[in-house]
Amino acid sequence: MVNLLSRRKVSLIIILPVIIAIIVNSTLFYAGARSLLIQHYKNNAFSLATNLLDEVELVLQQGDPDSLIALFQLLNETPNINTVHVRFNDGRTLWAGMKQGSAYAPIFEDRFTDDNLNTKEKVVEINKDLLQIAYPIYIPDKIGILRVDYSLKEMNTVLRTTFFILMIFTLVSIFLVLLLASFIARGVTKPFQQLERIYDKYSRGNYDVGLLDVAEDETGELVRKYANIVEELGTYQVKMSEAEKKKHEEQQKAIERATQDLKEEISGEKSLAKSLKTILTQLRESEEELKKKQAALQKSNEELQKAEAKLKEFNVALEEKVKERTAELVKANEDIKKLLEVKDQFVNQVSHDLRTPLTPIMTLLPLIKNELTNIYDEKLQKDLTEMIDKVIGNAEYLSNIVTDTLSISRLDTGKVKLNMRPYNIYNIVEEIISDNSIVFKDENIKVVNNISKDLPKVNIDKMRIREVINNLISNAIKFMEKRKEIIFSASSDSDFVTVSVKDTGIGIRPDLVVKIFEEFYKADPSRHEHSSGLGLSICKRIIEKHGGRIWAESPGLGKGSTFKFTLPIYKA
Amino acid sequence: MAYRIKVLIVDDNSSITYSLEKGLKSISSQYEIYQAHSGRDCLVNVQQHKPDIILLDIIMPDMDGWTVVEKLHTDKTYSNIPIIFITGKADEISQVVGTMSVEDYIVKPIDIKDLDMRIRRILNR
Repeated sequence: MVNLLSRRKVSLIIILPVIIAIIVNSTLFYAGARSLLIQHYKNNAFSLATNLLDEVELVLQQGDPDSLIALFQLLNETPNINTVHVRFNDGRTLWAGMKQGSAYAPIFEDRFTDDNLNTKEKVVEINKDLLQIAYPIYIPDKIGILRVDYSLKEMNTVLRTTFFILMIFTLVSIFLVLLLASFIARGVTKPFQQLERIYDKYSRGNYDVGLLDVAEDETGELVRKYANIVEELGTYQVKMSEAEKKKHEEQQKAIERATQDLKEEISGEKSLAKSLKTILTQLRESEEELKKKQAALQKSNEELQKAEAKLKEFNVALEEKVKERTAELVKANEDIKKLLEVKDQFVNQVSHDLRTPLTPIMTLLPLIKNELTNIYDEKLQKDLTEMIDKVIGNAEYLSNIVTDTLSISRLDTGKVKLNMRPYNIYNIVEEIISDNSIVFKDENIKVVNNISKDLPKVNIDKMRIREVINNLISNAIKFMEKRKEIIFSASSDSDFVTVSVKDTGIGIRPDLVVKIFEEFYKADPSRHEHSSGLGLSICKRIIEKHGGRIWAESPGLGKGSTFKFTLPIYKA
Repeated sequence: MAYRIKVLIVDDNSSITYSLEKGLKSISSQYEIYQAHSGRDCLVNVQQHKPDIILLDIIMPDMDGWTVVEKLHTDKTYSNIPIIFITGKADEISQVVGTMSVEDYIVKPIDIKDLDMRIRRILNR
């Protein structure tokens, strides 16, 4: 199982080093303690022994060997000293202090011969529980050998105890480490265990992950996420399995149905054969029908193509005809244009030529009139003056007609070139008003210029527009009687300025508002006998040549008139 | 200004020259008028009378007004005499005013008072 292995690993990782450390430490400690203890006891033994030697030598020097016994009796009290034994050179032995339980070791006697114990060097013999130290006794000559049996029991006990304590301590530590390690290992591997558990559940079809106490670290997070995935997988699988189930069920049903039908079919063999026959015949019939339809379609297709071809021909012919007609029209248009040009040129020429004789007529008539004052006969003078006046008047009339006709024909033939510049219409009207100030004063006419100075400038031929305005003013003057007022105003939109000239004259009949602009039309011939009747049509041509419009408005007869015209705004 | 104003009027139409003479004389007695009815006639008259100002018609059968001006201009004695063109149409003429000695132009039918004003204006300069 996955779990145990990883736990073992973790445990081992924790345990091994720790245990090794513990063991090594314990061993070192024990070794150290042991050597210290042994050293201590040995030193103790040696110091006791050497002290004893000194005492013995002292006593023997004093020559009282028996007092040694007393000394030796005292040694009973000394811990660890088992036996003290002196052997004199003459073979006498003296020993005492044998503790209960201590073993006397006569064997050592054999070892210490005079030969090997001559110097002051101590010779030491050890066995497990006993340490024997032997000294040669010199006072100053060697008189014997002193042996001290030092019991090592105490030492051994202590060593043993120490060993056991250490052993126990080590074992306990090891045990604790194992415990700790297992806890840690468990903790570390718990997530893996959880993951495995989740997978087991999942593989058994149990998608309910259940509450887990999850660690609060990244491993716990992993488990949670895995749990989420499994849950989702679970729901998905459930859904899928449900869907599959459904599908399966449906398939089953379909199969059942089909089987049922098949059974019915098989059972009804005859009806099958019959229906097959009918189907076959039907198929054949419909095949024939299809063929017929195909043929018909083909035929109608061919007819359509023929019709199309005919239509194309017809179209081509039509186009040709249209071209012809257009060419004819174009030619007719050009002919008309030429005729108009010829007519205009004729009018032009005639008007021009008519001016020449007018010069003598207009020049000489006034002179004749002057000379009449020299006639003595008053009645004759009066008659002649009357006649001359009539002639002069008609000559003026003729002159007016000629001038105006020439103007019109020149405007029509396009011989007039407009000199377009930007002007402020307010200023132009002011100029005209001041130019005509004498006439206004004489005729007692009130003139008002309500045009705003801030209107945009207009792009016009100043001379011609002055002509237009002057003409409108002279018309206004002709048609005003009692109350005489001329009011100028203007407005503008994005492209044009509309100028209005309003008078308090006799007004215009509504049905004549357009007719007044016709050539030679006079609203009231008595008011302007010698005027050509072309003024407004000249104005119309001039305004239209500027791209504008001119028209008249009137509430009715007796209610004054307003003439309006538009002029293009100057756009830089 | 000299007491007498010598004006040479050139026009192939004698009614015009006649009526202009009558008209100018009726305005002022200072005017001394000579008439010419062709270009050649004009040149002869200029030599003979040395006018102060010439009123010259443009359209004449033998020589048009322009040629006359050019011819006058070749001779230094006469190139300084101011000329007023007489014409029926204003447009083409207005462009030539100021060249050579053409000072002004006047349009038919002629206003005598207007003509008088122009003559005086030119001669006073």
